[in-house]
Amino acid sequence: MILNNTKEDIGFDIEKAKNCADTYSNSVSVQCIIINTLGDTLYSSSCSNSMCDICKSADAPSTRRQLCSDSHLYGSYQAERFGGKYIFFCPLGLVHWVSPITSNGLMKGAMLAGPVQMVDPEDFLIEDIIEKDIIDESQLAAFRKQISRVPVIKPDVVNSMSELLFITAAHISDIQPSKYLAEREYQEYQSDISEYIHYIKTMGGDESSLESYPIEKEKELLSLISIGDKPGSQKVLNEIFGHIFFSTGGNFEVIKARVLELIVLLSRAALEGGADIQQIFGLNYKYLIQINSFKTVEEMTFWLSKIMTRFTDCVFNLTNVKHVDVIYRAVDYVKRNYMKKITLEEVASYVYLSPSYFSKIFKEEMGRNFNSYLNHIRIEMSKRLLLDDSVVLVDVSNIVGYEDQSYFSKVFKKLTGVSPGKYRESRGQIKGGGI
Amino acid sequence: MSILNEISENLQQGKAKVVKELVQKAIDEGLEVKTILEEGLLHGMGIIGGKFKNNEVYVPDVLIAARAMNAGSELLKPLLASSGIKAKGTVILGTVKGDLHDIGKNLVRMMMEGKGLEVIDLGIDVPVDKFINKLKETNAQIVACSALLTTTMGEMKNVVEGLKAAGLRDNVTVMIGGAPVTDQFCKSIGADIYTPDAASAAEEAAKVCLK
Repeated sequence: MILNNTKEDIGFDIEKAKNCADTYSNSVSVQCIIINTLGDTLYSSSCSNSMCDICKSADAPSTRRQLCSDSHLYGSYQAERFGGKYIFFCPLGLVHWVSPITSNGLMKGAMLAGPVQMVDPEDFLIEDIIEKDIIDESQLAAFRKQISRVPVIKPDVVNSMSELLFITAAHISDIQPSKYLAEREYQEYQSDISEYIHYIKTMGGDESSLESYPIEKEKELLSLISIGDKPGSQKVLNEIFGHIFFSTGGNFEVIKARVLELIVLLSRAALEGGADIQQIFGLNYKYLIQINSFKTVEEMTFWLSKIMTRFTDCVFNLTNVKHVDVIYRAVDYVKRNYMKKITLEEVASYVYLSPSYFSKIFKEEMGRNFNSYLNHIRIEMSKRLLLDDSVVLVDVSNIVGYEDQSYFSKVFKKLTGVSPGKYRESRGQIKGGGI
Repeated sequence: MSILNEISENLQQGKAKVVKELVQKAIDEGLEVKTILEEGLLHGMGIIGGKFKNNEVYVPDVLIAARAMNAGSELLKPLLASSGIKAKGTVILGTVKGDLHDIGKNLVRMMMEGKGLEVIDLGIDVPVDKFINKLKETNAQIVACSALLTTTMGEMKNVVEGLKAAGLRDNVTVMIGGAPVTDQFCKSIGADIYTPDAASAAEEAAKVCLK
């Protein structure tokens, strides 16, 4: 049954969809159809030997046709809910896959491909279909012949074809594929945790010891973050979550408290690893507010794992830097003492190097010379003060370590493009500013 | 290769017909039903499950393996019924809303039927009202829910609450199971029994119905 094809009726561009269906079908040599939200076929790409035509033809009993379109519709709804694609068996036991077509954020139809078989035709369970009254004995011979003409495609290829259909359907839809991909990642993440809980259970042992919080795992996690090991830290974080779930029985409030603790710990680990302190504190502040927006444990734990990735990224990758320790300590010293009158000589002696040698390696590793770096730090700090009206303008230069106010202004203007006063006036909204 | 290994191998390749033939052969050779199930079918399923976790195989492979598993276990069904204590009772079984996992649930169904219980399998993705309506219709002794994701575990709590709201909670035993489910979770949501696998689920259900 073909319906009126106006865009308003259907909700998406049917001509474009037809085009996509044909292109897809032609490329993979599998029939591709477009259905609406009632399961009716709006369009069917032409493909010889289609099994589906037989089931959908007027000769087929109406119960079979209904069963067929119901299963297609069911498949589309599953696809929409679970990551944008769904692979399934139709009532006949043939393989199909489907992806939703959306418009205005709602599913308006779907693209369906199939049928194929993933094992040899001889393996086809024809007795099952007879048992389920889908066909009767008299049709057996003809059916067997049809079945032998259904393309046989290996599971990994079917997997790729379903992914390709997803991409094709996304082309006609308005929901970004990234939404589905994010959802898939989320599902995968939850199932990882699930796995681990199951693992804890089956490993047996004393239930009470399994319920206690794994402090050693926490230490392991922190050390992995401080060296910037993302996959390693992700794995340990999952294990900690598994323990938390297991021991709290999924209690939201308790888990929230643990998650908060973990955020603070993770941030300190990142700092250990050399991340910028202001950046980390800024993130912390943001996160501690964000956590109140969550209603379920799963949302929270997934979010925490993203935070951890963020923190880990902030860790200064020390392994790539020669003279690692020297630079790290020098930078640390500057960050703690910029507000005083500090000199290259002072810092060089702090790291036990001659001023000229220190100056040379500093420039090599940091990409700029010492004084330039010092000014950078001071100007950054001064920006924060300038945005705080309670600090008098004349005091700012002193606070960040400049004795001479006009010198401070000069450096400020050089690095940001505007004078300190102007910066304060414009509340920091300057174009092309920054260092 | 022993017949059990053959069953496992063919299951992994999704060869449902061959698995059926081999299972029948194993039965004819006098192998124990439990052995065929565990060392043949479940063994193969376990390997596929592991490979899926490691992204060595994908959903389509799991689909055909599950199909072969079902084909093989169908043959074992009537035989499970002839061993062990018989119990009279009805169980309403389902995977909760939002969850599509059913292999474990199907196994539970089989094991419970093997104990002589009548099992009404509501399938997967079952919303709370469906459990409740079926309970009203049938006066079953047990409502059994399964979930494989931490995201769907929460639904189990909704089932318990739904039963309370409908005034049915006191007359029915609620059983739960699934990979992330624990005894503590069971207690915290107010369910009655947690079991870690299909065999113990069937045992506990039989006990409840014999009371």
